[in-house]
Formats: sequence, C-alpha cells, structure tokens
Amino acid sequence: MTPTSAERTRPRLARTRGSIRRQLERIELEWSQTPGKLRLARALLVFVCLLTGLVAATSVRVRADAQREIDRRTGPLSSNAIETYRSLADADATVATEFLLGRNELSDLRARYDADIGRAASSLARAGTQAGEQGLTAARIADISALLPIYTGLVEQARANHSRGSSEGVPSLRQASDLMQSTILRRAEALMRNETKRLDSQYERAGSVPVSALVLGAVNLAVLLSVQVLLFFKTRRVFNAGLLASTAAVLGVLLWGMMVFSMSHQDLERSHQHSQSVTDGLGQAQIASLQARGSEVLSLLAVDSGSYEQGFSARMARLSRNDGAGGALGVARSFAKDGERRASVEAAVVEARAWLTAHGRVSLLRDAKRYEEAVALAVGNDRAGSATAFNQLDTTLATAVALERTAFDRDIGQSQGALAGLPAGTVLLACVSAAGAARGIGQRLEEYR
Amino acid sequence: MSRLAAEAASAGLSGFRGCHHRFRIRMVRSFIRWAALLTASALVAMSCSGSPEHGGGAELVWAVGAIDAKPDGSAQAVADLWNNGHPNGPMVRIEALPQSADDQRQVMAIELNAGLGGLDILTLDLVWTGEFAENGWLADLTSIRGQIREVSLPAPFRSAVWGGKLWAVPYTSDVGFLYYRTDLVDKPPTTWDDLMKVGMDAGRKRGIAPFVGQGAQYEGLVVNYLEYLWAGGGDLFDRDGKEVRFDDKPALQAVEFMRNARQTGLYAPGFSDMREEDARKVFQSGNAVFMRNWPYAYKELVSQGSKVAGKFNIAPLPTFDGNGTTSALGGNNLAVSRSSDNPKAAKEFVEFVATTPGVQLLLAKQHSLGPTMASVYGDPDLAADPVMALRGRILPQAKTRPPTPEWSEISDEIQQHIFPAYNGGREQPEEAIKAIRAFLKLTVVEG
Repeated sequence: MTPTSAERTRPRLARTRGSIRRQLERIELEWSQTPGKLRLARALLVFVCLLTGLVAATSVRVRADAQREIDRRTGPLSSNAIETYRSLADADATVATEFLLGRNELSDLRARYDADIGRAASSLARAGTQAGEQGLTAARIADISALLPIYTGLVEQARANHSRGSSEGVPSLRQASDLMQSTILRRAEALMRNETKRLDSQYERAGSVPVSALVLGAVNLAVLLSVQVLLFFKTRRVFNAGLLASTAAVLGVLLWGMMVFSMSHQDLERSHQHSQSVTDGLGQAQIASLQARGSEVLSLLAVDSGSYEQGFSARMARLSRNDGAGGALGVARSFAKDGERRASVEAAVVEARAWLTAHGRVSLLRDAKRYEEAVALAVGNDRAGSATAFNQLDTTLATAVALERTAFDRDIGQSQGALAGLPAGTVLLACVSAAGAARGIGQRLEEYR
Repeated sequence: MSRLAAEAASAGLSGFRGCHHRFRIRMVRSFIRWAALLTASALVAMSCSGSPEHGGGAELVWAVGAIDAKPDGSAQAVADLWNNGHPNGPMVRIEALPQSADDQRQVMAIELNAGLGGLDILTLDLVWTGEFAENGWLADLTSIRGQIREVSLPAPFRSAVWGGKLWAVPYTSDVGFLYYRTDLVDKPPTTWDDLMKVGMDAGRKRGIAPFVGQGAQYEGLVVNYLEYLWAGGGDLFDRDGKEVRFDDKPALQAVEFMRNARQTGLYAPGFSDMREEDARKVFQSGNAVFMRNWPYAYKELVSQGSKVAGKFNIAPLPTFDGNGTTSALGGNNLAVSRSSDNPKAAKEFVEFVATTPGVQLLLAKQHSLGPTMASVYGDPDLAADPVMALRGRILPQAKTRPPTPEWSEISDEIQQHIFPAYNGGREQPEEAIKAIRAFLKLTVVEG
C-alpha cells in the first residue's frame, strides 16, 4: 500500500506510530480468522525453533571452548606451576646431599640439579608469557626469575668453598637454602595457588548446566505440542507430518544434547579430579617430601641441628599427618577412587612411615655424635637407610603423578570428543524443525484457499 | 485442554457415584490404606537419610600448635572444661600440629583446601583470618557475632572479621612490651629518641648492647617495623583495607630510624639474626639495656637462672612524639572448619571458649596467655599481676596487621625490602618504601 501524499507529509513519528497501530490492527484481524491464526502460529513456531537452536548451539560452543582452554592452556599452566615448585625444591635437596657425599658420586647429583634449575627456568618463562605484563601473577613470576640467579650464585659459592675445604662451605649453603625455602618457594607456592584457582573457575564454566538452552527447548516442545493439540481440536486430524517432524527434531536435539552433555560432564568431572589429585594431593606430597629431605640432610651438615630437625617433622606432617589420615597423602587418598590409584597412595603412606623410622635412626646416631654412621645411613645405599626410603617414596609419587596426568589428558580429550558435532547438529536440527513446522502449518493453510 | 480434564474428572466422579454404597466404602477404605502406607514409607525413608549433625563425629578435633598441645598445656585445660560440662559428648580432642606458625598453616592449608573433614576447630594466627576465609575454608560465624562482639576487646574482634563477616572468635591476645633494666635506667623512655640517648649512654657505660629486638628476615621484622610505622602515625592501608596509605613521612621515618640504629650501634650486634628467643637470651644474660619482646619472656626473665631477675621491669613501647603508645597485636583466634562433620557443636565450642570468663581466666592465670574478653581484665588477681595489668593498658591501643588474604605475601615483600634497607644492604630507604607501596597497590587491585 503506497502512502498517499497526505500521509507522506505527516511527521515521521506520527507515521511510524500510525504504521505500528496499523500492524497491530492487522494482527488482530488475522487473529480473528483461522487462516490468520495459522499464519501467526507458523511465524511463532519458526522463530522459536530457530531461536532455540541458536541458543543451544551457543551454550554448547561456550562450554566446548572452555574445555579446550583447560586442555590447552589452564591445565598445563597449573601443572607448570607445580613443576616449577617441585623442581626448585628438588634442586635444593639435591645440592644439600652433594655436601654429604664424596667427590666421585657428585656427577649424578650435579646433573639432577642442573636439570631442575633448567626446568624451573623454562616453566617460569612459559608462565611469564601466559601471564602477561600486569598484575600480581606477573610480579610473582618476575620476582622468582630475579631471585633464581641469586640462588644459583650462592650455590656456586658454597660449592667452591666446600671443595676448598673452607669452613664457609656449610654456612653459605645454608644461606642459599634459606633463600630458597623462605623466599623463592613461598612465591612459587602463591603462583601455584593462583593457577589452581584459575583452573577451578574454568572448570566451573565448562561444566555448568546450560539452563537457558534447556528452558528454551522445553518451551519449544510445549509450543509445538499445544499447536498440534489445537489443530487436532479444530480439524479432527491427528497427524500432521510437518509438525510431527518438527517435534521429532526438537525432541531429538534435546535428547541427544542431554545424553551427550551428561557423558561429557562425567569425563570432565573425572579430569578435574585427576588434576586436583595432583595439585592438592600428590604434588603437595612430592614437595613436602623434597623439603623434608632437604631438612634431613641439612640437619646433618649444620651444627645446630635442632631447627632443621623441627623442620623435618613439620614437613613430614605436611606429607602424611597421622600416618595417611591427613596431610597431602590423606588428600591424595580421598581422591583415589579406584584400586590402582588407591594402591599407589597406600604404598606411599607405607614408604613415608618407613622413612620416618629410618630418619629416627639417623637422628639417634647424629645426636650420639656418630656422624659418619649417621651420614652413611642418610645418604648411603643401606636398605634400611633414609636415602633408600626417600628415593622409593619419590619414585612412587612420580609414577602416581604421571598416571594422573595421563588419565587427565585422556578424560579431557574424551569430554571434548563427546561434544563434537553437537553445535553443528543442533543448528541443523533446529532448521529442520523450523522447516517442518512451516511445512506442517502450510499444509493446513492450503485448505483455506 | 481444560475441557478434557473436566470431562475426565466428572467421568470419574459419576463413576464413583454410580457405585453401590458398600463398594464406595471399600474403595474409600483401600484408598486410605494405600495413602497411609505411602506416607509411612516416605517418612521412614526421610528419617533413614538422617541429618548429618546427628550422624556426625562423636568427637570434635581441635588443631593446636605443638607447644600448647602438650598434655599439661593450655589447650587440654580448656578442652577439659568443655568435656566436663558435656559428658554425653561431643568431646573435644586435641590434635597437635607442627611447632612453627608457618608449618601449622601449611598443614592446615593442604587439608582444608581438599575438604578433608579431619579437623573441626582450628587455632589460627590472627593474620590468617582473611586468607583462610577467602579460600573458603572457614564456616561463617555470623550467627554468634553479637555475643562475641559484646564480650571481646575491639582489636582482637577486628582481627576475626573479614569482608564484613565474622570468621573466627578471639582466643588469646599478645602485645609488644618494652623491657628495660631498672638498675641502668631511671624511668622508661616515652620517645624513641629518648630511648636511643639513654640506651647508648647506659650501654657504653656497662659495655653492653643498648637494644635488642627482632631483626631477622621473618614476620617478626615486619612486626617491629610496623610498630615504628604506627608510632609515627603511619599505616599500610586505610581503615577498610581498601586503599593504600603508607605515606612517605612515617614510612621513611621508621626505616631510617632502624638504619640509624644499626649504624650507631643502638641495635645489638647480631640484631639482623635475632628472633624472639635470641633477643630474650641476650637480655636474660644481662647483655642489653632495652628489649622489645612479647609478654611470654617475662616468666623466663624472673626465673631461677636469669641474670636480670629483680633488675628489670616492663613498660609500653615508646612513640616518636611521646604521645600514647602503640603495639602490634599478636595472638590466636579459633575458627570452625567448613568441612567439619559437626559444625553446630564446633560453633558452640568456640562460642564457649570466647565468651566464658572461666576459660579466659584459666588461660591467663595458669598459662600466662593474654585474654581477649574485656571483663576479665577487671579481675582483681589479674589486675595485681604486672604483666596482665600492662597488657590491659596496651591492648586498647594495639593495632592489627591488615587481615587481608594476601598478608603473607605483603609480609614477605616488606621483609624483602626493609631488611636490606636497614641492614646496610644495597637498597636505599626511598627505593624500599616505593617498592613496598607499589606492591601494596597491586594487592588492592587484585584483591
């Protein structure tokens, strides 16, 4: 209907208001007649079907993206942080052990120390690029990176003093160790905590229930069903192929979506558990045992063994309080649901106990001033010695951590795989349901011509 | 739709009406029987699932640091008071944690983070409130906030609040004392400059160190530094902890005083290695004129082997302008773990400890621990005790370290900069203050 010249001269707003009113009047006119109702119903149905498809596809997409982030970025970053911490603690314990050994046994330890420092430095570099320029995380990373060369410098100085036979050897080693334990490692711990928190919130995002999609899907179904029921009452015809197809498509999406989503969710949860098992349990156990080892060795080097002995007890408590009821191993135990993982945690608890016993013997010898025997028991190959016990525990924990990491990779992969194709499929089925609805109602409309 | 439903209903009813009345009665009776059976089974099912509080632990585990966890220690005495009053349980059992505060924090952090339910009540250093609360490890104690507020002193109470909520109850309190030699000093100085003058004179005369305190690179150094900062009217944050204050003038004055003290020999040799026990030993052997330390040292100093027994006294710490005093607040709070099996009983226990005068008096009289209940300081026995009396004088003016979750990192940062700045390291005081301020700003932004 082309506007008359009079209408054209009317001011724009009045014209728009006039056209809105005319639209509403038109709709009322349509509604009063059956074909009009049908046309409106068709428009509404198509709109709802497409909207549901869009919202559902987006919800899935968002969660799939979050999962990919976990797989590619936040997951690795979190284990990066814990690796940094562990490498640094290992370096410190290794250096202290060097001082107790004879010259010819040093090369292995030196290699281990160098590998540790290298690993820590590269983990920090990786974390640095991820963290960006600003913020507390970047400050912490910068701090650790700046302190690391100071530490290695002190270690070199201590080694030089020691090989010269100078009495400054042990005190300078203590200086290095104090720097590591009280400053560097605390920053590394804060870094680790930060990354873990970030990972947790990423998991929350990835695993949240897509409420809007579900609600819209239910609404979509309801509208479809009510249209079909109304048509039944009007036309006394039960089956309308188009509308049935549309309903089937919507139901299909809903059922497929729910099934696939719950499968993915299960895998996601499992991957979270595996990750937490390391960050909160096994990883902490590794760190506590390394720091305990450092304290043990330093208690044999330093004249005032008292504070190092205290440090050893405290760290063992952190490792396994009350023989596995608490501490890091207690946490690991709470995460170990199946037989194999449970077995390795129990083995670790037993080995920790064995180490405590061995250490008791070392302390007795040390306090009785039988230093050479104490050292031999602490770093030698004696089956009943603390070196054997510590190394065994270290290996058990490393194996357990590796198992968890493999399981994490597998589960996050499976979780992503389950969602594959769902966004595209949702959009496709939404179009099918829209088309079906349009066709179905179109058929009824034809009867009015 | 509704027409269908109405038709169905009327069909049913007419069907019922159409029955012979005896059948009707039987139908009604069987209906009632079925309804009763269903209701009964539902009730049984509900009661079987039970409420966690009834099924929960028959004991409450209280985590305490090694020193106080001894069988004849303060914690056991408090637990006994509760256990005697609760013969039907739940009983409180002490669980010993490592000795140093840092190690205690580590052990608790690991378990609370994973939600292990092994610990119900936690003994927290008062600077951990923000961190533990922010990490979601503590149960909200808002339900008992009123009762706690009523009886506790303001500074200890404030140390238990974070984000507007109450997360712990005050348990013990500590303040810094100035110990001084009565045979060398007439009356305790009220300004730091006075202390410097008097201390250097007396020290030179006797050939002993003028002053010992906590100068090693650890939390104690931060406490000492903050006391100088507050003594000059400065602070780290504003009241709400939202904005950084740390003005140049008091911050620089504090670190420059320390630097000066080391250079002129006010601080004893070895000051930069000293913690509480080291300082006490020096003073106890008669080798210092003044000492800054916590009240715990008093008992040792008056004991048998002490060379200064009868030759020393205690006083509030000086300020820079001579007005009033200030001190860092120390001590412990008690909190309830969020993963506790029996939170209701645990909350009752902590409320009991914080609001029962008997408990606080026991801690004060038998174990020389500073109470946090205001009313207890009015007790005549306590008022007669010089240590308790001085605690009571200083407490109202004591200041808490900011209860922010980032406190341990802020403390680290302050240690890292103040230590070299006063100890002749390469850091200049101005650089140190600037670096600390920058770090404080970072924590506020991300907090």
